[in-house]
Amino acid sequence: MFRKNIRHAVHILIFFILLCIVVLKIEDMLEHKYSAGKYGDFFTKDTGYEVFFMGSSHVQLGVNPMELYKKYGISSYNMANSAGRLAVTYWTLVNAAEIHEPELVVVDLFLLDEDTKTHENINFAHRAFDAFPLNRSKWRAVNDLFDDSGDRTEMLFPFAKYHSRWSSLDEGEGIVSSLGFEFGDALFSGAEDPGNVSEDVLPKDYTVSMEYAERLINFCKERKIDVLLCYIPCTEPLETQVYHNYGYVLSQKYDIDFLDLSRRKDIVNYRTDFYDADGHLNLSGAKKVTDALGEYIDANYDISDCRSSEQSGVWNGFYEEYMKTYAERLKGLEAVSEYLMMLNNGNFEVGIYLDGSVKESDYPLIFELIDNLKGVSLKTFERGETRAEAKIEITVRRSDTGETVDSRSFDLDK
Amino acid sequence: MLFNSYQFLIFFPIVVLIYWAIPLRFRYIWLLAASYYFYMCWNAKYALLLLFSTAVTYASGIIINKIKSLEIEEGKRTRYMKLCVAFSFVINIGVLAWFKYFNFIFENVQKVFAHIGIALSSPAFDIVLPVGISFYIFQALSYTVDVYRGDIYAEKNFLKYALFVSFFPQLVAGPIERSKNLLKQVAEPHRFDYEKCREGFLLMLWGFFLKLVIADRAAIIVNTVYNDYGSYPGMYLVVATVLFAFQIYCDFAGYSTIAMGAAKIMGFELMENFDCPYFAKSVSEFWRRWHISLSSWFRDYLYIPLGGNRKGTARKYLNMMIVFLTSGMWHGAQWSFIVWGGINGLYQIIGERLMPVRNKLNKLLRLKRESFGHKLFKVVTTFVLIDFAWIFFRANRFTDAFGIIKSMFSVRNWWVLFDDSLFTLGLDWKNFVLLILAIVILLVSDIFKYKGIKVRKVIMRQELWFRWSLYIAVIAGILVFGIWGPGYDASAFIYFQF
Repeated sequence: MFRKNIRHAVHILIFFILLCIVVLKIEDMLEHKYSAGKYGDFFTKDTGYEVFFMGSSHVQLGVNPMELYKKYGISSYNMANSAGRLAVTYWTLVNAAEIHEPELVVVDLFLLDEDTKTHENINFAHRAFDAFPLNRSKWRAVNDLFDDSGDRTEMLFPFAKYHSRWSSLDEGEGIVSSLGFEFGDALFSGAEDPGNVSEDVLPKDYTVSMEYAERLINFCKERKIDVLLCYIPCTEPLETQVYHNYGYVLSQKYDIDFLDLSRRKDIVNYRTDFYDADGHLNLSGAKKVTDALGEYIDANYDISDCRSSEQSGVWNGFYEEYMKTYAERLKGLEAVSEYLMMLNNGNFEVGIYLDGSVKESDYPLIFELIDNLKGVSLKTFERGETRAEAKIEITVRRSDTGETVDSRSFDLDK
Repeated sequence: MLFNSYQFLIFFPIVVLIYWAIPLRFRYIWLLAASYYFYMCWNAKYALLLLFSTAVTYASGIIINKIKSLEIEEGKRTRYMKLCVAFSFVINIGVLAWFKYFNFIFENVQKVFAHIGIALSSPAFDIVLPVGISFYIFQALSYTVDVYRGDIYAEKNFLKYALFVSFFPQLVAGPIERSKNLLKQVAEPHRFDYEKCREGFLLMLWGFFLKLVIADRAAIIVNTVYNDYGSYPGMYLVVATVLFAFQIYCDFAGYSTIAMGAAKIMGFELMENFDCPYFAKSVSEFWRRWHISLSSWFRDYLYIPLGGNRKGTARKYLNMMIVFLTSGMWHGAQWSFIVWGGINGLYQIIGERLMPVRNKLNKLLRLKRESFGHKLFKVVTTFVLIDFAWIFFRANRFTDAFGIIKSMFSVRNWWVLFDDSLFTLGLDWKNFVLLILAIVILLVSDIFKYKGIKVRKVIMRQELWFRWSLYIAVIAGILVFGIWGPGYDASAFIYFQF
């Protein structure tokens, strides 16, 4: 009888294990791939990441780790997420630091005015956390961020949410990402500089986001991780801009740097460097902001140059993958303005032949975009004879390999 | 807690593991504690009501037993016993009436008085219907009558009796068990039986399939259409009404099946509550196959005491109408439920009255009653009649039912069946196809059952690799295709409102 019971118990155990394997496999198939796509390379053990860039979608589209690597040899990961309040940012860091502990954390202070821990749309939290394994840190994060037991359950066990995706698996779900950086390959030329609030104007209230900003700083201090607060250029209105001035308070209180790039008017061009009306940077704007950040980090922090390290092979692999994706996105563009915007890449040599009939007064944006490339990727710029059709011919090569990336011709009248 | 909730998925294995681990003599106490905990998860204070009903009917059984042993004149003995039964009924039905019918009665009295110009102000308190009250009160009352009739001895152990009333698998939505069946099992020892556990597990799986894959999926379309029937006329309403027939069947049968499975795992056998009802060839047969525990309760404790069919045809029809109207009322304190009950009663009466006409027609047309075509015709006709009555059951308001029926018969838009319009009701085409496939699986399973083949027994006889593959596929199927998780409210079983 006892043997029979043992046999039954073993049967049940094996059955349960097999069931779990099948369910986990199904979960893997059905889970939304956004988070896995964003953090895919983060979980590799082949390299570490010395710098984390954290914040909201402004950072996600605004800081390009591959440009940092190419120019400064900095190994970094863009951990920022859409609608990422500081509470989500804090817990992302706590979870991420268990995988790779950085030397420096760069935190953007957009959304410091938000008095909630998470966005009301829980999908944003899924994007931030789904890829992280279920462990004590994730458990603590979910329990802190969510009060509703249903929300906690779906965050800890995303299968509860994604099991019904079987009917929509053929729809697109990933993001075009390179080490967490999202490609902003569109151009919104209607952005305007909102101006700046005086540094000494401070917010009157103390928000939940401010609390978590301090928790993040304390977390880093405990682990001897450097913190750099920043505020990258965007189109935030003055009323809420006052909140990012709190960065000056934090900077003094914790003896850390606060780099307010919005006050530097030489970095971005509001006509050429924005992706949408919400103030997100496109690839050109991301290149400029990344260069500014990289210059500051290189000058003020002791971050090793991984171009000559043991992991350089891994990083070169990342870079090749990035350039391949970049080229594919470039070739897929139909609008000449977006095409020109995307040529602002430190590793491109661009040759432009502009038809003589194309006047600056008729195509001011085209000329502005061409100016945007001067000193970066524009190698040759020829004006042709005046002809009946307005045309621009562009060739793009990689500076490092000489390989031709693309060669296109656009009819400007169409 | 609902059966289809995370809490139950944690609660049940813990209860079962401890149940089988502890000594025999303590098991019923553990189950009693678990049952009260289960009930208190709904609303802790209403457990007192459950306890009250338990105490009253327990006391009635003890007193009736005592009266039986008294050396008094037979007539007096019967009178005192009847008094005891009446007392038990008055108290329990009074409680049920208060919680279930007070608002309904008051609102109707208010309307009547309003017609004659008198305004009655609404009471300051709000009465919340305790979940499962209709089920456990009927179950407890059946015990009183069974003791009176001598079908069972009064249970002296209060805790065992309390477990009979509150046994959690069937506490909140049936089946309404008889003391002869369940109380007897509470008193008996149960040894661990691996085969019963396996069978119980299969029953629970089937129940979850019915509830999560069919019922809750059909509910999406039914709710869309019935909650805004003005925007979904004609054929939309026909489709939704047909789907409602499967929704309510799978919802209720799903619950009962999970209850049976859960009980079986713990060594208890609950009664079958559904027996392929939509294969019934007449309305009276339908009611012998649908919610069997309630139908048989009304038969044994209302219809037969009223005289049944022993006092002439007119009285028989009156008794039938009383039973069906009461059944309607039992389902809910709304006129639509009472009308639904009345329609089913009328079906039975008309069916019986037309029997000679049908027999004559069959003879005239030389129809073979046992032919497949004839049986199919009867099954479909019965389904249509039952489904028509379901309109009153499902309609949000009594008056809505008439609007729905009018729209069904007056608006001709049959093309919506073919032009993808049905995929705009909350389910895309993939989910709609899945729903139809799942209903086909249900019907095939019911065909097997109708023919006396117990599918789960057939499965249990197969090789290990086949069984395990099937179990894993079914569980995975329920997890993937079931309507659960965020984005869907864990929809309560329909019969919880009763």
